Amino acid sequence: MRAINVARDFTRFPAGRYARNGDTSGEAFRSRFLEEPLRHGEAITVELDGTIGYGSSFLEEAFGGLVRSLNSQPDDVLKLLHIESSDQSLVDEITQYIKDAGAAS
Amino acid sequence: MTLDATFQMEAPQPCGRCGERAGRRAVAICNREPTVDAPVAPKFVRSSGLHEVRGMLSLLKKLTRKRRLRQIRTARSRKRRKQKCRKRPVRKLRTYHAAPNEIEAPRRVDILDFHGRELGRFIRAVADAVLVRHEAVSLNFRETEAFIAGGTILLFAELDRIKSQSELEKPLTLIDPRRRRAKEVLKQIGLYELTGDSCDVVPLRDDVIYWKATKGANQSGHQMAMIEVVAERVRATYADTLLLHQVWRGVSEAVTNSVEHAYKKPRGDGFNGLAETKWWMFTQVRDNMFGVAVCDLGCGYRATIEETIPEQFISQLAATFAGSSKDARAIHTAMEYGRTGTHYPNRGKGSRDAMSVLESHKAGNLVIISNSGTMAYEFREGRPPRHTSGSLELDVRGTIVLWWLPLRGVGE
Repeated sequence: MRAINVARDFTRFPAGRYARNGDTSGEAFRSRFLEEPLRHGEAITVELDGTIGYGSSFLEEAFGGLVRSLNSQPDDVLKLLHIESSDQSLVDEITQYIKDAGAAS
Repeated sequence: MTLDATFQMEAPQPCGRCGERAGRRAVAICNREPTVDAPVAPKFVRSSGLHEVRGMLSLLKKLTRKRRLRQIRTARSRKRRKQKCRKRPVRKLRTYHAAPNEIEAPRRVDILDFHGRELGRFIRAVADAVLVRHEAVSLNFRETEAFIAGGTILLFAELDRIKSQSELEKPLTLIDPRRRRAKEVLKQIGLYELTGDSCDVVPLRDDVIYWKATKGANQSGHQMAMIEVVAERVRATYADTLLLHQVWRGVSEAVTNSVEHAYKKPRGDGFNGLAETKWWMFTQVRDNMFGVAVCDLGCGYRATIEETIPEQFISQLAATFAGSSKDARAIHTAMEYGRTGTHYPNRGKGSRDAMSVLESHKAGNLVIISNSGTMAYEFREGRPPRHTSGSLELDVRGTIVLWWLPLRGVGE
């Protein structure tokens, strides 16, 4: 299983939604680290600790956006994606975004 | 017998219905119109007395006691209101353009009340001179004494905007404030750097060193990283009560909103955003409170909510919330839309995150200013959040989101 640490591998300052509006955005993170492995059915662990914090737009676009961009079911994404954080509320929030994205599409 | 004589003789007779006498006024009015040809006139008098006369001459209608008392009350309240208006001191606006190219800055850089109007006039005077008449100007801060967060971020943003839009080599020059504190603030927030002037003052005062301003064109977190430096400094002085990850959540979402929504339409004066700067940020510590503000010079909440929020939700909220201005109502609509949750995964996140900063700190204030409307949210532990709406005398022509969070610890 591949492990990605957001602070180490991407940025300590995650912010924003779309890649056109910033290099530390949720869309940039998703396309760089998450889409390819998940498309090939590879499981990933994402470690959230170590950054300054997360905004909702970043989290929704990075994780909820997976359902939209891969055109897959929330359950399939949740099976392959493992989120680790010392703040359990972030894990719950991400899970909710993935489910909501499935419901909206 | 003439018609005139008929009235004079017969009018004082008691009324056929109520027994009241006509009195002199009815006779006088009737005498004024001695139209002999009028065939109906004698008929009133003879038939049934005064009620018919009164019907025709409604001006003569006698007031009932209740109506008379009401008129007295209305007159009194009008008089009181007039007197109150007279008592209110009429403050004269300070005149600018002391010298042809010198514009006097307000004594207090603030957006509230009279000071807001003064700040607005100052900004407009600078913009007119530099962008319309293409004249370089000197900003006279000699008498400036106080800088308040909301006014300071607006001043910083507007001067930066004016300088960026100008084709002049050096459009703005600062004239130093007399007071050292004011000079330290201008130096600390980088206004001397912005105008390209030099200042030998080193900011040392405790209430100045936390003032910091920055700006950016996109949502990149690196452009907002300044907030971490300030927060670390705050934590060194105060106990670890500032939840930086929560502040980041609110601030980064406010910046995201500014970049994505604020410049979708041109604002009131036609300005449609700069390519190199879309938002300005500002931090401050005052009276054991940490303040952070995000400002944009875009079209405001009112112009964009119709595109981002369903019409049904807007009209539902408008029916229950009587805000003091349309701008305040638009802010509150956006906040409520975020708070109540939406069916759209990419809508309403900014407002929810703005409030979550207060909830996680269990106390604090959030003030959102959009054009001339304001909404203030107050959060205190154990009490339901309170909100108040208001309107400014100044149109900020943009949006300012400002948080105040309490700091507790060694610095107290």
